[in-house]
Amino acid sequence: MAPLSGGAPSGGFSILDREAVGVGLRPQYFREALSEPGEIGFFEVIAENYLGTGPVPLSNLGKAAALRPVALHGVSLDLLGTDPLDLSHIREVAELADRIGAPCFSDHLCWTRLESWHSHDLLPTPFTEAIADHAAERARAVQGILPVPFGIENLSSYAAFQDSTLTEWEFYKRVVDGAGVHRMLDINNIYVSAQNHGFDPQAYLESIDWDRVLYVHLAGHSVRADGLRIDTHDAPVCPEVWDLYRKAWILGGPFPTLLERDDEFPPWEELVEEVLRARTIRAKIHQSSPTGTIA
Amino acid sequence: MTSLHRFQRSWAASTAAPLRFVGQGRAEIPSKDYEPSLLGSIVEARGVGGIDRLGAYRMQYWFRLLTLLQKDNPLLGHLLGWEAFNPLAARYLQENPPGRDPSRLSDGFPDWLQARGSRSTWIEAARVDHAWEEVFRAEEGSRPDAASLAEVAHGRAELVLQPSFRMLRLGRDWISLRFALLEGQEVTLGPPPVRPRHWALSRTGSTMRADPLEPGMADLLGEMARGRSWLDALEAVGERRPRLSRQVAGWFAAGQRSGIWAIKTAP
Repeated sequence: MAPLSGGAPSGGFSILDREAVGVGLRPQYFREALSEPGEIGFFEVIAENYLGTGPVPLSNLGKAAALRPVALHGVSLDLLGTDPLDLSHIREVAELADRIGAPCFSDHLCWTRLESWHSHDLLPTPFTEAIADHAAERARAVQGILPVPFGIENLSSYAAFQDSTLTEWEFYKRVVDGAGVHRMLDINNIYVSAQNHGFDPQAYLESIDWDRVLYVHLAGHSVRADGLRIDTHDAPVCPEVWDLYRKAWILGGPFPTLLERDDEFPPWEELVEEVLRARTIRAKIHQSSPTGTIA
Repeated sequence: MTSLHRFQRSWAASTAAPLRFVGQGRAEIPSKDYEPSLLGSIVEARGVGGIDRLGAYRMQYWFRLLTLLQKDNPLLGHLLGWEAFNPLAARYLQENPPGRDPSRLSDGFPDWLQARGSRSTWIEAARVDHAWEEVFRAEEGSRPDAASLAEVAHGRAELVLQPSFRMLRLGRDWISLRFALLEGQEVTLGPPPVRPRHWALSRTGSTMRADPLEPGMADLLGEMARGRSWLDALEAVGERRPRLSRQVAGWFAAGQRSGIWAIKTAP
């Protein structure tokens, strides 16, 4: 299939600029993002929206890929699932990645479906060695089909299980290492899960092998009356997550950063302000210590 | 992974169990729906127990699906009001669990309404809503220009219907209502017209448009929608309509204005 734009050559991939800050490109932002991308270093799109009879015309993706690298992000890989992997879906993703010269593809460490039932949600399991090894085997198979690096995103969750024998970060590391793939690290998800389950997010960050991080996600979330935090992507990034981002940058920066917004869409200018805020936070770290190693 | 599969079965059954609608658009989660082994496997932390934690997933599942159906069906929702729409949509979802592509969730909704003997106005509203979504997400084919029309004349290309075109036969003015809802206007559905009429629903870029069709052109488009080529469709319509040649130029021009035509290059 012919490339849609002047992205990376067919069959190859380019690595994202480690200082780049990107945004999730949703149809609500096509007009502004595709006419004046300005400070935006890269885009990320939900791959499923552009596969088969997906709801968004493919032509917009071609325009985006002509302007900036477009990373593909998935929501239905089902790494923790027990149904067979959907190989035709992965091949479609691979073809799309090739066509737009995507630098990478990522999806979540979760399960999404069972037999004919699709949850359209990102669901957790207990954290055990056996389940981690099962996911690693599936992730290795995914990477074997993709022409670009595959990154696994850590999940935000609202339930933890008595049967878990590993911490979340031990589980995540075992899957990534076992599969020999990459991380797509979501800082907001670490914070949401830490608040919901009562673990220390700093310990999570310290477990990360940063050279495996393709990029990091930042997003907003909501808080229910009972205190449970829900990963809704419908609000600006909260101060606590910005603080965790600052700590992550000190520990492992530079890494590309992407701002996600999936509901309650603000004007484009407000999203760009968050991009600039990420840059400002990093600049302050570098001013404090040119080596970026302050405590 | 037998134990993981068993865990996921239990989770899926708990999540997809229906909500209880209690009026005024509110829904509750009956706590007895959860399997004791699943409930007992959840860690209670920070004062939030298993029922509320599983409930978060269950509420999200239903909220997400109902929101998708609401977005896909603004006319039907306007007609019924969301308080009546939501339980109806939930029953449809129970009988038609979501497949892989959430954007196709509403595909079977009009037929489901018809099969259960719903009122004709509900079915027609759902059909317009569905056609609107289909038009909106369809790719646009190449539009005819002078050069491509010359290719048509020489048989090297064919005039076909745009993928982003649907024809509707409507007994009420759903089109005005749908555009008014898009603009956020407060509107009510008028009385049914004396005779149903055909409409062309099409899209250019992100702009939707709807044009009333004269009966002859609706016949022609109907033939083409059934798979006949432009020339075969003209012939079929011509058998029923004298003085066809005078009308064809007008139909062609109307189709150009409405964005109905596309060009398909002969292989």
